[in-house]
Amino acid sequence: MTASAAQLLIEQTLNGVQLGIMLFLIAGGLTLVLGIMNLLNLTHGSFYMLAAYIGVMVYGHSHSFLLAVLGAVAGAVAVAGVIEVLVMRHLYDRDHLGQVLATFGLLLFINEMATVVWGESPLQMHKPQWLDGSIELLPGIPYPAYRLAITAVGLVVTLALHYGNNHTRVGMLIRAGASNKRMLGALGVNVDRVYAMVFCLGVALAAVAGVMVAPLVSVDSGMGDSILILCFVVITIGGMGSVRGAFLASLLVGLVDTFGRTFLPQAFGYTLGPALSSMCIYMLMALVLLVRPEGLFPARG
Amino acid sequence: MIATAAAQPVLSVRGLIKRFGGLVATDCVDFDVMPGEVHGLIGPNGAGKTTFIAQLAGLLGSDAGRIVLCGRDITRLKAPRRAALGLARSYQITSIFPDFTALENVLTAVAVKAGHCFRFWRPVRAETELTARALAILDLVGLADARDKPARALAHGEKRLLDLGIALATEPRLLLLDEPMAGMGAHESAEVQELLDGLRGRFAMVLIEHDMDVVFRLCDRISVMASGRLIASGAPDAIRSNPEVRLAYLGED
Amino acid sequence: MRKLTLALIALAALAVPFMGSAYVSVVGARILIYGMLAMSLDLILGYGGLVSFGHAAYFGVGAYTVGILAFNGITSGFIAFPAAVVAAAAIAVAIGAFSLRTRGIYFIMLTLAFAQMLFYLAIGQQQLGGDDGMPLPHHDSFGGLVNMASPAQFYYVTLALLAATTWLAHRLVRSRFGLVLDACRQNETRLLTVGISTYRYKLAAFVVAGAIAGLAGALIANLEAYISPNFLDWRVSGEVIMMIVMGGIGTLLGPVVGAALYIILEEIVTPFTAHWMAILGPMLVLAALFWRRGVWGMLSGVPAAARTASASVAAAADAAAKPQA
Repeated sequence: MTASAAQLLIEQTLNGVQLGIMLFLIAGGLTLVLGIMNLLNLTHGSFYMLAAYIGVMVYGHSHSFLLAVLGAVAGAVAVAGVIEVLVMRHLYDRDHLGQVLATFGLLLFINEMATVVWGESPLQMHKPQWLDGSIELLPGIPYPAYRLAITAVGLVVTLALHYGNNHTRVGMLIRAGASNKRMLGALGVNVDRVYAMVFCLGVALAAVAGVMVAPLVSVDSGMGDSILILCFVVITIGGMGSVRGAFLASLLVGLVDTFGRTFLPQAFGYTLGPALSSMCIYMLMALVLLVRPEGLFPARG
Repeated sequence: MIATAAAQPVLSVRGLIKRFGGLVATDCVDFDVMPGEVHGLIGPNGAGKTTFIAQLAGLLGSDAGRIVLCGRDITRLKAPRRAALGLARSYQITSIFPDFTALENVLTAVAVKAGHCFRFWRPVRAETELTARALAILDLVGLADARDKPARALAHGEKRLLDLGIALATEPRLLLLDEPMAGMGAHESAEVQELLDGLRGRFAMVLIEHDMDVVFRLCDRISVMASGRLIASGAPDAIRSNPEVRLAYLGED
Repeated sequence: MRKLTLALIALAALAVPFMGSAYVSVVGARILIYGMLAMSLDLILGYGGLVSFGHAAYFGVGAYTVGILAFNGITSGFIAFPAAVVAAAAIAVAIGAFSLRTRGIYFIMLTLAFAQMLFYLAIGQQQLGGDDGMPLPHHDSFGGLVNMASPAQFYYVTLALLAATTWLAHRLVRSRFGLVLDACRQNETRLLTVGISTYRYKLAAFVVAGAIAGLAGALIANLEAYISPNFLDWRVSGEVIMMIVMGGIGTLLGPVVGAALYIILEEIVTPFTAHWMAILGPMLVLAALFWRRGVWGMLSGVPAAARTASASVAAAADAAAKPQA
């Protein structure tokens, strides 16, 4: 293998992993809410989008990336908390149509409010100066420091989540099948509070991803929608309600999507290539469903 | 009609096994149901009766053994196929179509039985033959008066009768009844017994029931399960005086 | 009550092109087209219980079929329209075959994901305008019978097609097939144990709905004289569900009324603010939480859960009970 081919391979693999980890932060929250509260939350992408916007705004004023992250998470979680109390908790017992309608309505509202507050044009966010540059992973293979950083942060958060899931009381409740509301209540647990916490946790994770990804993409009110669809693909492949499944599926989707976009146009030319590469992950989803109709790790009965 | 002399069993089960991990829920069960008979299935709680019925109905797969319905091996077939071949089931937890009227509930089963449901054009209005059949069944189960009532508005006992009516509409050869009188008052319970008595001979029935009076009154033959095994099978009197059976029940008490 | 309301609406519908400028006919036609789309989804959503969040896929496929054919010089409506219907039906078979093996939330996500896949596919087609789409090179012609470029004539053609497809759907719903489909929505497990393979019925209904949506797509392409990937966008799928809920689920005509409401509201509000989604959104949330009956339910005095089959079954039973001559 030539040096440049090796470089491309490593680069794209790292890109794929980075995309996968980011995806997991978003999809993980979605599948958690799905598994525990049985809520299909179409608004999830909008929180991701909100966090990106808030992050850009805070960074613009403070020039501190750390503040931007904190502000974005705090802001998104605050909004999420209000929405959980006002709307979401009334949806947990509803039929799917009702959930779809309500969360879709919220999505429309939040997306539109974003354009009201921040305007129609996409916003740009600069990478923090101390991360703007490349790191030489191996001699002759530079890789953007920023991407490495956010991948690392994502991994740390994932590990924290894993630890929390297995070693805290809330985690134990979640693992013990917290989807049985009555059982939880009988154990003397404040179910409403647990559910609200789970919901906000999911949003917090998505918010971290949103603000970290902001410098890499153009921040506009539609960014939440496209990521939501990706999350659906991830959850379908990984298995509804399964965080572990979401992790593996996110990595898989991240890698397949990245490699597809890079190599398919080369293989199939520039007319067919891009079309095929955008369809890659859907074909992957279809393939997985053929073999395992419930996803790779179905957590729900 | 019950055939005489060498009658083929409607249902023939050989060596049926079901394991859940280390637990053997169904332990090598041999079971026969003759045409037209009412065959009771009794046993202490946890004996494995419900698991066994689920295996017969096709809702649970079996780990070993054979199930033969009217000479046809149905062991590998899924529930819808078994239903189409004449195996009907009335549920312990009433399962009906809540938005439909009582008549429509039965009509659905009648239409499915009649087949050709890919008819898009003719309104059900024109299908007087189907509706007549549905009405007849409603009459049979005593719900003729409630025919235009939405099923969800029926009383609990009426819903169970409707559930039974749906099962009857499929013109079964074998009807599995899992505690048909559960949750019914004495009066309704008596009505159901009368109904089942009147249906005797039309098709075979397997009846799970806890009320011993009912069992001994209705059933032609009784089989007893305990700990997943079939420990006795025969005429009511023989079962009543069987020492193993008494042990299984007394031991449970 | 119901017949009177129907008659009034029919009269109003017929009079639309006389109510003012061509603009009224255009908006009216748009209402009819989205009404057809919403009605087709109601067939599987209201009657079959299948919450498909990707119905825009078949709408868009119908539009793109017309566009692609026109792009290649085929502008005969007698070819383009059936082609649009067939193409949409074919895509419905493909997507339905996969998605209908799943239930509940999985089904919703899958239909959404597959529809979005088509959206990205359409955006990627640079020769068809990519992101922006492209103008329709030429209206479809029906051999001089009808001028599709004339707003009034187009309106009446669309009205006729809507009436025809609604009537077909109405018959379907009251047939044996409709009975099975409705039973499937209410209690699929029970239906399975009665002895029927529900998958086939759901798929058939799914394809019929997709085909009608394809027809609506062919019409929208001619109305807007434009082919846009936005026809495939999941927001359209969401809007269609909104129209159904606004009008009345499981009523066939309710969704048409819902479409009218939605589009008229949009026409009224947009001159004042471009952000009418910020008003629609909360309305939707409130509707989802509190109000499921829909406008048609209120207008015609028919409860939302009533099925058109019910009346015919009761009548049939009466007929059966009468002594034969």
